[in-house]
Amino acid sequence: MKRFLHRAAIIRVHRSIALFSMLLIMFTAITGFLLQHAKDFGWHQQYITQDWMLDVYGVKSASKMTWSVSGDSKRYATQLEQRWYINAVQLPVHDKQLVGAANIGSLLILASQHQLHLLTAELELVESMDMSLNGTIRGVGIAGGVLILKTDTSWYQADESLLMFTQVASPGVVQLSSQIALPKMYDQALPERVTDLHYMRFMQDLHGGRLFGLPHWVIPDLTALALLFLCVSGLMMKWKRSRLSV
Amino acid sequence: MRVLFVLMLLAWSSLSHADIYLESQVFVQQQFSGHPPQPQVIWLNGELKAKLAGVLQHKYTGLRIRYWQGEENGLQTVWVLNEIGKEKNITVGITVAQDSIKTLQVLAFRESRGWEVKHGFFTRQFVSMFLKKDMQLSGHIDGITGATMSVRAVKKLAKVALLLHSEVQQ
Repeated sequence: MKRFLHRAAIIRVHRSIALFSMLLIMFTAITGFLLQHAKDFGWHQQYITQDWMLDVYGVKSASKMTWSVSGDSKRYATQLEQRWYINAVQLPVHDKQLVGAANIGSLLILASQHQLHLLTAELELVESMDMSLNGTIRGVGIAGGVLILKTDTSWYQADESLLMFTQVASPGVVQLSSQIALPKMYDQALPERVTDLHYMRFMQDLHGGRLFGLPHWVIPDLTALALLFLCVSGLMMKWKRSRLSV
Repeated sequence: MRVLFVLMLLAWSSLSHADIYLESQVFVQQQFSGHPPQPQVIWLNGELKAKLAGVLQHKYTGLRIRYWQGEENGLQTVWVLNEIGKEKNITVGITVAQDSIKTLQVLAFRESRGWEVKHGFFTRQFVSMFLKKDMQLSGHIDGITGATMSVRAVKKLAKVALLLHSEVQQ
């Protein structure tokens, strides 16, 4: 009888813990499953855009800088953090300080302090070029249909295929890209806040209990302890049952 | 104590900033004994892009790749290529002559871990390697503990350089 009561107590505790931890285990299992398949969903490449998620990470409004595109008065190059846009279309470029943009023939050229990014008119990336010039790039423009780069100390002129850059003493009259205000229609279309965090990172943090303070932090621990307890109590119940049946 | 603090600061800064070991321009000059030819470009058509995607295991973003070709060692081509190790680009300079790698050098490393791939004991393994028909390197490359992703990125770039070399020779 004592043995039977003991087993009954284990069953009661087992059931209580199971009931209590059901939601925790479901939460951990579902987030774990989603995390396991995050790459299949493309979450490792998609940036977080939802306001409430950005709030969770404390993402603040992005600083915005817009440059005119020399040779194309209808386009505007904008930088939001490390993301670059033409009008309101995000470019496949991830770089630091945008210093200007120009349009030569069918190519769009955007410059950072140490790189040039060439894009087609359809904004497909042609090439990102590391520039080894004398000084950092401070401006980009056009003079007589030729691409001109301005560095700290010198002027450089590009060849027709934008492969060679030759130092020139005086590039002539240069139409340099300059900082301007982004027209309202494009400004409204751009996101207010941007982050480099992907949905996969959000899933990792959600699964690992790193988002919502102490209550969230203890969820993985409680889940683990509950699962351990259920395993042990389940085995004990089975063992006691087999002993009773002997 | 101050010395310890400075050392810790130096260690931290070495982990958190891009390390440029050699400017790509200098690497190219070295490969052509100080007189590099004019750069050329290979435009990537759909077929070549598919081959690159097969080697890189992701889509290559870009429509053209620069290279330098000269008469040294038969007909050699020099490539400066980038590939992400874990999160940031690793820049590697590769010289290919007679369909095999003559030189491979890590020019810039921007990741926080895995910088060991810059060492000669690792990069020398690539010398004389060629690309087999199944798009694999002709020999085994010993990995580096703790630098798995960087090793993988450098191996991919070696294959890309060999593939592009064979394309420009056709």
